[in-house]
Amino acid sequence: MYKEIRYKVKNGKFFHIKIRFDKKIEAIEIIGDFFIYPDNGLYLIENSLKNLSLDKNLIGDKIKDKIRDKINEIVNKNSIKMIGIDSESIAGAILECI
Amino acid sequence: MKWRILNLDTFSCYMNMAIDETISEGILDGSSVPTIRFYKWNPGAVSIGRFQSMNEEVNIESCKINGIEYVRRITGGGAVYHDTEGEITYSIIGNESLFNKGIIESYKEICAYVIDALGILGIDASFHPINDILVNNKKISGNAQQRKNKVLLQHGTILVKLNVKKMFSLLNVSKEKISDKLIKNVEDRVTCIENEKKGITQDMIYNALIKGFTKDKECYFGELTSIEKEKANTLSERYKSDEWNFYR
Repeated sequence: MYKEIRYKVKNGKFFHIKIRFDKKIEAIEIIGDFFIYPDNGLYLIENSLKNLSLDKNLIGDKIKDKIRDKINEIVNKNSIKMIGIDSESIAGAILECI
Repeated sequence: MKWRILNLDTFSCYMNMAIDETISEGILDGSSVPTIRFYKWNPGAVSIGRFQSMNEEVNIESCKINGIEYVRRITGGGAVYHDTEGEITYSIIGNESLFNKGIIESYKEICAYVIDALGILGIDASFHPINDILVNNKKISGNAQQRKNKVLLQHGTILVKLNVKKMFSLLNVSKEKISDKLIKNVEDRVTCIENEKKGITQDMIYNALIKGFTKDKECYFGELTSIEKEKANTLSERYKSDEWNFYR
């Protein structure tokens, strides 16, 4: 299944997610006027979400927590700084898609 | 620490972006010195942020009809229309250690140079996080920063004249952005020096910017080195490519 969503981060920027998924996230693209440092930080985040399983036994907030925690893991491991976007809003947008 | 000032000059969008990146790379390998440059764009162009989609942000057809070029920046942020006579762009490039460590704080620090320059012209401006400069709640300057390998590049625009109809014919502004700011008319979002103060010439603006950016700094007026010119020429080809501009 393929879905897109436009999302506004509270006190942040707008972003657009394009996601293809089934039992897992197959592909994801996060597009917007935010800032991420270093430059490859966005690629690392998108890559970390690929193949993330979307367990149908997990409901709503649990899936969101899983996605958010995955992003935070990559952010912390690679000292990524995000301005105008955050892991919470990315997870929230993905949840709305799935 | 001496800053090199590159005097106001005009290039294509590809060359402007290539020069900024060339100097950034040069700071890293020692072949460039900390630099402040001022430039204009000819032909006029639209630049989009690193993480935006060209097709989403830019009306490509309208650009082609109007002879406007389009390019993806290496910095994040939003889409900007750079009118040849409508704005002046600055960039400041140096080792991260020369600036405030915090990202928002460094935006504020560098935007203060522009705010000082506008103050010299009698225009009361203020910094609006993350990266905007406002006059009477309208945006007069947008700024974008890259930090890579401990080198900071920030560039930004100062709007001199505004052709709002032309700007928004070239940019695709989403309905979400308009409704979010609770305004009916997108023309309420932006302003320019000409709207805020009559009788300001380009020379006056440029002299004010020089004062704003060089205050409390040791500076000299210089030029691009032959190596920088050669590197920028090569790099400008990447900025022309669909592979770069349309990669997302």
